Amino acid sequence: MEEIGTGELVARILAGERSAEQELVQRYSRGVSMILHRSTGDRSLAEDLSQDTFRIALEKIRRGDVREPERLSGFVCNIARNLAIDHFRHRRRLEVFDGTEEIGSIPAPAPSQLDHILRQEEAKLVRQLLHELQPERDREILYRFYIAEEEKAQICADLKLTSLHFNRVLHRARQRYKELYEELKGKV
Amino acid sequence: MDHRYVDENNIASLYLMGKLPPDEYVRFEEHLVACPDCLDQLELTDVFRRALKRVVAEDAARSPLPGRAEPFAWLASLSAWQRTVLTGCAVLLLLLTPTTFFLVRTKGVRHEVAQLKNVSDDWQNKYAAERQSRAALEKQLQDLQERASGKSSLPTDSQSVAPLFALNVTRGEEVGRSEPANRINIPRTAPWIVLSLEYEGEPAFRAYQARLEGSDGRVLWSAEHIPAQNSDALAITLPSRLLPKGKYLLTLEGLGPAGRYAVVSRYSLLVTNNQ
Repeated sequence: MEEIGTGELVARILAGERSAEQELVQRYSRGVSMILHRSTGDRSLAEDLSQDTFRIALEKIRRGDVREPERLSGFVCNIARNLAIDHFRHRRRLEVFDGTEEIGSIPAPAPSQLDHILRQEEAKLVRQLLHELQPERDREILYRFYIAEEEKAQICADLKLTSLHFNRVLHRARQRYKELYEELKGKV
Repeated sequence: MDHRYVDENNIASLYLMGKLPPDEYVRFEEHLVACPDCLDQLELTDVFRRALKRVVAEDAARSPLPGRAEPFAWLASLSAWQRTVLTGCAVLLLLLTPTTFFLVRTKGVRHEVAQLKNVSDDWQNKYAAERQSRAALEKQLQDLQERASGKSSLPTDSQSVAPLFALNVTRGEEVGRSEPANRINIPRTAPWIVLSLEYEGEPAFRAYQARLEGSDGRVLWSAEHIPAQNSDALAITLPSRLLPKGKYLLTLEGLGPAGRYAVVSRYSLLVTNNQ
C-alpha cells in the first residue's frame, strides 16, 4: 500500500480518522523513540516520552496547529526534543529544590544477563568481520573513524583515499556485519 | 536532506558520534524520523560501533600498558634469518669484548715488564761495576797497609825511585812482529818498574784489568779492578824480576757497562836490561 503524503495524513487526522492517527504513530514511532533514546540515554524514559510526543502531536493536529503539513516530520521531532528538554529541566529543578539527587534521578537499569550475552555475541561478530577485512588499511579506516573519531577528510588524506572509496569501505563493513548479525539472529 | 546526501557525507555515523553541526543535526532527525532505511542504517551502525568499541577495549585490556612496551617486542617483526644473524652477532660481540680487553691489557703489561727489565739490567751493571771498583780500592788499601807495616814488597825507600817507562799502543797488525814497538832497559838496581800505559782518547772505563804475557803466550802477571785514573795514562807497577830479557805483550782491558771486560789496547815490548 503506498504511503500517503504528510498533507493528506494531516487532513485525515483533522477529519477525525482514527486510522490516520494510527498511521501517524506507526510512521514516526520508531524514529521518535530513537531520537529520544539518543537524547535521554534511557530506553524506558524514551518510551514514555515517545507516548507523550504522539499525544501532544495529535492534540495539536486536531486543533489545527499544524500550519505546514509538508513539514510534519519536523513538527513531530520538535515536540519530542522539547519534551526531552523539559524533562531534564524539571529534573534539575527538583534536585535543586530538595537538595538531593535521589528524587530526581532514576538510575538506568543495569544491562540484563541477556543484554550482556548479546553484547558478547556482537563483539564476536565484529572480530570475525575484522578478521575477514582485507587489506589491513580497511581495518585502520574503521578504527580511525569509529573509535578514534577522526575526521573523514584527514583519514582520506593520510591513506590517499577518495571520499567514494572511504564510504565504500564503511558500507561494505556494515553490510557484512549485517549479514553476520542476521545469521546470529536466525540461530537464536 | 536526501539519501544521497546522507550516504555521501556519512551523516548517520556522524550523528551517532555527535559530530554533526546543529542545523544538520536537526535536518537529519527530521529526515530520520520518517525514513525506515536510514533508521535501519542508524541502528546497524550503532550496534556495529558499539561492538567495535567493545572489541578494542577487550584487546587493550589484554595488551601491555602504553609506555611499557616490551623492550624486545621489535624482534618479533624480524624474519627468522634476520633473528639468527642478529643472535650470532650478539654472541660474537660477547665473546670478542672480553678477549679484546684481555689482549690489550696483556700488551700493556708486557710493555711494562720489558721496561722494568731494562731498568733492572742497568742497575745490575752499575752494581757489578761498583763491586769491582770497591775490590780494587780494597786491594790498594791493603797494599798501603802492608807497606806501612813493612810487609809489602814494594820499595819503601824514597831514594829508590822505580824507573818509569811510557808504552805506546801497539796496533793490531803490529802485534807478533819480531820487533816490538816499545823497548825498555831495566837497570840492574831497580827492583820495580812503572809502566805508563797511554790511552787513546779519554778513559771510558771506570776500572781495568791487565795481563802480561811472555813470548810463549804464558801469562806472567795479571791485575784486576784497576780503578780508572784522571789522566790520559794508566800506571802499572811491576817487579823487575818478572821481566828478564825478552819480548812481552801487555794487554789492557776495560770494564764495560755490561759488566764485561773488553780489550782497550795492547802494548808489545822488548826488555833489555843490564842484569
